[in-house]
Amino acid sequence: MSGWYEGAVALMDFSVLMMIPLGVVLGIAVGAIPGLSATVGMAMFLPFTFTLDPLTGLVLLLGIYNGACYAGAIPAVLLRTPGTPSSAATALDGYPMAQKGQAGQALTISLVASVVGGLLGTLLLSLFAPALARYALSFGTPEYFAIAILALTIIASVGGGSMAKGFVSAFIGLTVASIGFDPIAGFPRLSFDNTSLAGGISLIPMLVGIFGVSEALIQLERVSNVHERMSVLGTFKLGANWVKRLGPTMLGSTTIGFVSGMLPGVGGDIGGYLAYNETKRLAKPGDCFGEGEPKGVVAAEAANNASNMGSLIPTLALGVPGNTQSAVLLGALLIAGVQPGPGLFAAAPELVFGSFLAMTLAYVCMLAIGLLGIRMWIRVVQIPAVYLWPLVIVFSVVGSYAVRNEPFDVLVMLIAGILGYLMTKAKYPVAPLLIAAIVGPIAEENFRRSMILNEGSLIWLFQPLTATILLMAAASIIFTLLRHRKSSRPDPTDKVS
Amino acid sequence: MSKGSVIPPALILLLGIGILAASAGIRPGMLDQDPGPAFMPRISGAGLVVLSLYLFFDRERHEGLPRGRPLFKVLGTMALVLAYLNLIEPLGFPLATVLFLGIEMAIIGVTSPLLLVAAPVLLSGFIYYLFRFGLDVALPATRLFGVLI
Repeated sequence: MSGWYEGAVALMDFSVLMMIPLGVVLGIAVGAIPGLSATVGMAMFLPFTFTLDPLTGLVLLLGIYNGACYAGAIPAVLLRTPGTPSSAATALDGYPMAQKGQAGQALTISLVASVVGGLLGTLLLSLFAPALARYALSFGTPEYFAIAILALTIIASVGGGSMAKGFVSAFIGLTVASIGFDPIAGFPRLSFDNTSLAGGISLIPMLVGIFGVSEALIQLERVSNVHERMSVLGTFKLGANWVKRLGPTMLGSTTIGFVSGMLPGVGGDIGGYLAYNETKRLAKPGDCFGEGEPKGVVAAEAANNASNMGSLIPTLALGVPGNTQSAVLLGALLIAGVQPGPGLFAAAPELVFGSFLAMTLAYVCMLAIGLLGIRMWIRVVQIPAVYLWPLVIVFSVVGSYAVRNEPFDVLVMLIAGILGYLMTKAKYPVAPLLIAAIVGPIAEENFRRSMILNEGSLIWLFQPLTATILLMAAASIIFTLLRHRKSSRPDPTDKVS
Repeated sequence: MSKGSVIPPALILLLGIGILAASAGIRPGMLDQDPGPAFMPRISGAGLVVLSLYLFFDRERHEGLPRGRPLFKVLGTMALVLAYLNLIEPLGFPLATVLFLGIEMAIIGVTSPLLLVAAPVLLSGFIYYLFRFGLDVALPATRLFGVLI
């Protein structure tokens, strides 16, 4: 209980409290703009958390994460263009609702479902993460190596169409992480006697370039001054019996989203689809999925917000990212000098429990800001791209420069941006690069330490828990392979996809 | 096999070979049981070589680079960012940003002279003051701008 008390005391600081609405507002603005995903938004604002203390910076980033996840639904409903990948399933029924003149109701439903899914997800996170962290305190280097490998299986999932391309991206990330001094002996690697490279590649400029600049370059290709026409909004009010009608779907989808979020690589987009499909499978007579069914919007939004919270369990309790956004959060903590993992709950309870409380407040705040400013957020969708994307580049440059006041970091950002652009064009996913750059060093250090402690023998791989986690990693890859095979087969009867 | 589908795996193959070659020069670890500092780069290099060979036979279509005006926008932006990062310190952030935003907006199709001047000046000033005084992030400023703050 003392952890909660310390968290509450830390949160009472005015500067921390102010970051909650600020993060939510920034997140909603980011999520409402098609192309600016939660990851891009978090990457853009990450460098500005350096001047803040860890809790304040973390609260800002979590606010952006949660706000963006909800606001992705706004363009999904109005334009059939999800603002973030996790809102893809929202468009399936949200846009048909808008076409029927019910855009206002669809937006209110998506807000309420996001808040309920997020609040329940935060509750489940605060119950499960400390328990897992307590259990993980007994882990040694073999278990940590196995967990890092399990986290690397995310790569198989986020690799999109081709798992091989995902692994190419990951190997590039591992190479980038290898630059500089090695973690055991301290010998220089791949630095070519360059003093800037000897210190290693800073994570922030790489992250900002890979996500921010590459997206800007892609969007700049097709910038035009043409505004897309939006649907008629209609009323924002929900009917009297909406709790009875939509409540069960909200609770069920929250559970599906949270559980799927805990699994490496599943993420909000897949969580949203899983919940949508389950809700559709259990449809009652009269439900019209794909034609503007409110339950479809509820399922997708409650699940993707709960999934975000689920993905924070491995991030906080084990120190390995559950998805791309939590990899950015992990990077923020590492840069702030905080080591995520089981020890964090004892070493910095105010940070962990303070962030749980902050997320709860962020969702309450999101409900108020979302309802009060809903007409303004709709306008954000239409910010002219000719101003937006050059500004994203300026923010990326400032953010990279501000890390160490080094033009070299801006060069790293530009190279990472060009690399990300070329990879995206050739359909190589960029997220595995970041995940491998964060998790790779954990895997390497624990593998080498385990080898040294076991005098060069691989017997430690067969310890019960290590072997179990490694089998889970193998199962995760097999599951992803099967899913890829299934999704590559056309299904003419499926109206949803 | 089209030229476009061969170039990415060929570049990956070259990268993999380059990493393997560079890792040959890394000093071995101090303990016999330690796989050594070159362990990770070698795995990465070997992985890239193997995957590049597989990807030579990959039939997935990719988008390819744009042509014409979109290509000009992308290449122009890349060159402009390179110039921008080299001008931030000598010119100071506000002036370098005004130049960057003005030229960038012209590249992507803004033609109104008023917008090309007013928007970059206002945005640059707003960002500078936001970071300098709102977030306490020190950005380089010229003496010319220094008298204004």
